[in-house]
Amino acid sequence: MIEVLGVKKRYRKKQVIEDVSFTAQKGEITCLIGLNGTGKSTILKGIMGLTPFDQGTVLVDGKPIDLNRVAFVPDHSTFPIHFTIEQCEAFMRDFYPTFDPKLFARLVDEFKLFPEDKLNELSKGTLAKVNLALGIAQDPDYLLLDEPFSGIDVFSKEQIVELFSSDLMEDRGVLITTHEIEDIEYLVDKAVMLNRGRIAREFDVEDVRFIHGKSIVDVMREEYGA
Amino acid sequence: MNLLKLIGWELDRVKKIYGLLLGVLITIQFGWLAVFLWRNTVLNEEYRREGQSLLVVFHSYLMSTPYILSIGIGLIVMLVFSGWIWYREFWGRGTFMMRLLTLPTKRIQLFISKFITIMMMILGLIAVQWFALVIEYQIFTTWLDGQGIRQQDTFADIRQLDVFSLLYPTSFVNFIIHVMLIAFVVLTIFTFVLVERSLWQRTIFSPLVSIALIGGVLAIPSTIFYVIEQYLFMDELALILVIGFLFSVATLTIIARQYLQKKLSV
Amino acid sequence: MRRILNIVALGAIIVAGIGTYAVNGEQNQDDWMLHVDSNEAVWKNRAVRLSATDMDQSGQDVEVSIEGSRFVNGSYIDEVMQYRSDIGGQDRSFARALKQLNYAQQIKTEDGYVAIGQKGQDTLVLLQSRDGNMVERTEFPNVQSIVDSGWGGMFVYDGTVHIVYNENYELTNQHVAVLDVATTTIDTKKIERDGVLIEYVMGETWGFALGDGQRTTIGKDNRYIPIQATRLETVEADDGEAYSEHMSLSGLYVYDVEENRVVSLDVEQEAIATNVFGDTYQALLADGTETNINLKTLTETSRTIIQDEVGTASYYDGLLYHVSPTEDGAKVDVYDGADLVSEATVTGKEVNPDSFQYYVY
Repeated sequence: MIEVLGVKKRYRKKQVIEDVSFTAQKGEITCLIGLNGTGKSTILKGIMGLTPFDQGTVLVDGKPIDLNRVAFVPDHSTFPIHFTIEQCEAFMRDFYPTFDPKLFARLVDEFKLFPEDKLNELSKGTLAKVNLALGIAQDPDYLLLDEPFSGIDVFSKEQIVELFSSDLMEDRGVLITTHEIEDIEYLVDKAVMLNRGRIAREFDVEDVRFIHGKSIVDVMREEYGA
Repeated sequence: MNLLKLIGWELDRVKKIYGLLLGVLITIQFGWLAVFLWRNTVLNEEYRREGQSLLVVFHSYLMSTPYILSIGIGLIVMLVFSGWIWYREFWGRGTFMMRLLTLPTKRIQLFISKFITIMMMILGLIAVQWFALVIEYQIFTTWLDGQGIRQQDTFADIRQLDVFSLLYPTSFVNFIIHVMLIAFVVLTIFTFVLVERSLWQRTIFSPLVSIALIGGVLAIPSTIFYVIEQYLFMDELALILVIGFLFSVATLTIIARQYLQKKLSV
Repeated sequence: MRRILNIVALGAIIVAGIGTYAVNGEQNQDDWMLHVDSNEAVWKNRAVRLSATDMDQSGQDVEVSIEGSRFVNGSYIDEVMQYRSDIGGQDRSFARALKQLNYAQQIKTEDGYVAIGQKGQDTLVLLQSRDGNMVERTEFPNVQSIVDSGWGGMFVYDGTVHIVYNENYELTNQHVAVLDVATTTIDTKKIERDGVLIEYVMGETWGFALGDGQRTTIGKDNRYIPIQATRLETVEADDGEAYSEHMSLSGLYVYDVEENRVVSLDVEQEAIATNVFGDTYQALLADGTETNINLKTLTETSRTIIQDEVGTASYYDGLLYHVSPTEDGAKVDVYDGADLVSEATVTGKEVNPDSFQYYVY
């Protein structure tokens, strides 16, 4: 379980995250929801230590984060753009003992990627698939995905969504932020809704659907008044 | 082992531009040597017709603008690259720095690998320049001997020239000390970058704050030295210098480490 | 693995390049040696420095002594260690006080060390110390005319410190200042000028001069003060403009304190080496004779010391060290008066000895 406890973050004069606490379980897909600028990406980056929180703690399975066991997949490439897909894989193999080349090869095949392609030659959708493939091939216990569908074509989106319901995600905890909630609503187990730097609502998606007959988007409309 | 891998990757990323830099320096120096020797050969012929002879000295070649420029280019490129080796990782919404910071390896290893990469590049430049100097001198003496032109300057003489007495002092211990000073400059640049990159999201004045912090650290031993210098003798001053140097290195390292591990923001 | 090769390749270049530089075949200081044939005692604290004069032999200056050989400018660490070794356990209080003054000069008399220096723009400071430890300091304020002038040296006469200075830096405006410690005032008088002027007083040292514990003691009541004399000559430049230039004079000269004038000792030869100690002014002349002049009475005695050609020479602790170049390096003869008390040779391996100058320190 990922536990985010009482975290706060300020950007210059703005308190972006007031006081946020939530959990994301292993084996579940947890979705962080919020309007633009509510701090969703900041929370993911903060969990990974990329943007240190001013206050608060993050624990993974009761301990400080072990980067071998948590993968972060942002909405852009995190390799130099002149790298080839092959080079990215070589880099991951060098530093992640858990990196599974066979799994990566399987994903390259499924996503129809070409290892000799340079990252700067790829479309946004293809880049997103490369990112995801590298993250999953790391074989982590937890996968943090920041806007994985942002700006990509519908077919790439479909391929990625398919991945979430495949065996590759079994037993992994997924923490995802996205604006395209309708694409994966039926896959999400838990939603954490942010508003003005705080948790507005935290709920089990299936419960809300069956008991109240509401989708995540319905709850969003209630909360954000749209 | 991770450290070696990190260094390997750093060098891999930089080998093309490094090779280009070496190529540029060699081309300037040897190209200019060819021009220099040709000009003097022609001049000597003119002198000969008038019943005189020319004396060519190697240090005129070494003290000429193209040669000094080639060394200057190397120096400036390495200074700039000492900062660039960090800044390039922040290009485009964080890019590679995100990858580096989320590696399952201690962050200080990132620092050490970049530091060693820079120092290896600098030492590589110094090594290549040494080879170049030896070969240039050989070409110089061989060509002029072949043309029957008088020449001056032994290889030992050139070593006394300012630039080369710094790069290749006659005492190897002094060379080590010079390299330590170069390393200190690199450490200072690294610390500046890490502090600036940690504060950039909090203030637009992050570069100034970084300079002020580092300036403050260096000001402490400098001020002490300046005040007590008039009361102390060479051996005592040397001790103060060493203490001041160690203090600066320790403090900058602690600051760099602290910011890298706890405050760096992507 | 492929990327580790990057480290190996660059590492190899570095090792090859810098390794080659490190073992570069420079002149080795161990090529030089000092062989003392007799009386090693006079070589304690003495060394012979070799300076290359020939381009082909250029490299570092080497110093040889009974302890071995070393480069004069070795590593920074060597220089510091040598500095410490030179000054030993000597007390630094006096030198430290002197270090804070500008244009400091000092001499050693029977009463200890005496030094003068400048503080600020108008204060002259006098420092005195019997043992180099306890320092008496006297300030003479408001003496801008002296402080703002060129100093030609100092001496002690009749228990009082005297300073030779050129007012407004004019050599023709030479004065003597007499320091009254009790009243912290200074009397001055102009030196009678007879064409010959004082360039500097002999026997004094500029600066704080640590490590000079063996400096000779100069008498504090000598009427005649040994000086280097100079004369002002008018020279015409290429453009027709005339200007004055001072030319050092060969021969021996003293300043008569009582008559306030420079006196020539009627020696026309150049002095190869000079020494001032107690009440004696000693000089080795170009013809190999040594002249000793009593600085109270001006009586002179001479004796021939060196029969052959005179090389370079210097006095230390009353002994004369005479150096003459040889085929293999140099020969150093040490004289105590007219007696040859030690012989030594300096030799070098595979170096051209003619390309070096030799100095005894």
